Amino acid sequence: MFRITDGPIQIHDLRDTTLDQVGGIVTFEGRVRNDNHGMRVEKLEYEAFPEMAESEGMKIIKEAKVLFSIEEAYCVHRTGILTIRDLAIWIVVYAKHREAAFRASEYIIDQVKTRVPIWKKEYYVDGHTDWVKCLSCAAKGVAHHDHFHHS
Amino acid sequence: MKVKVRYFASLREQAGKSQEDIEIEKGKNLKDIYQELSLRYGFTLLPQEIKYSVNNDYVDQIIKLNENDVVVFIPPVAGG
Repeated sequence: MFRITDGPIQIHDLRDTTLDQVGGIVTFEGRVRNDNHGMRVEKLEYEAFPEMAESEGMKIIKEAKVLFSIEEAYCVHRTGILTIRDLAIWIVVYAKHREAAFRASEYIIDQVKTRVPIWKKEYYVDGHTDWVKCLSCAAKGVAHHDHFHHS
Repeated sequence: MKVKVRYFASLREQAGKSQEDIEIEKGKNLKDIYQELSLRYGFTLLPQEIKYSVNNDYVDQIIKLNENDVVVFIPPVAGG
């Protein structure tokens, strides 16, 4: 499951504790921090192309299930205005064993940052704003993606 | 031929709109269309920074468009 939400992410509603075969659960929380490359950040605005974000996100979840020995994975990304410490993305991976859960959660966040059409506008304390281009995370995600297609 | 273009993020702000229908000449590819719209709206992202989506899927810039396709020019993404 991959979902875009314009309200706060409700982690407790998303926890799936019914999987008896699961021995390892890894969660990743991405939240808003107060600086980017030395610039003091006041708040963020996330904008999504919702239809494609959800379809691309679902492809990533399906890929993770092919690549790693996991039982289930969910990812939720928030849009709209977020302030410092707000939760922007939440990922949970359920697996029999921890290694696959760790690796799958890293794959999912790297691919989301590379491919899912979501954009981030930073509002700085000094009053100016900027749409972020995350070139380093794009490069990391592409490396993963090549591996997927060639394996 | 008519296609629908949707704009997001910096392109939405620079175009001053979220979507529009445009007429395109047969044979134009997505990069040609982006460059024409860049001249019209003053887009600051270069063609090499843009990815292309047609009907909610990533596509190559040389894909053949059909009437009523939904085109989105994807600025560098920054989710997470």
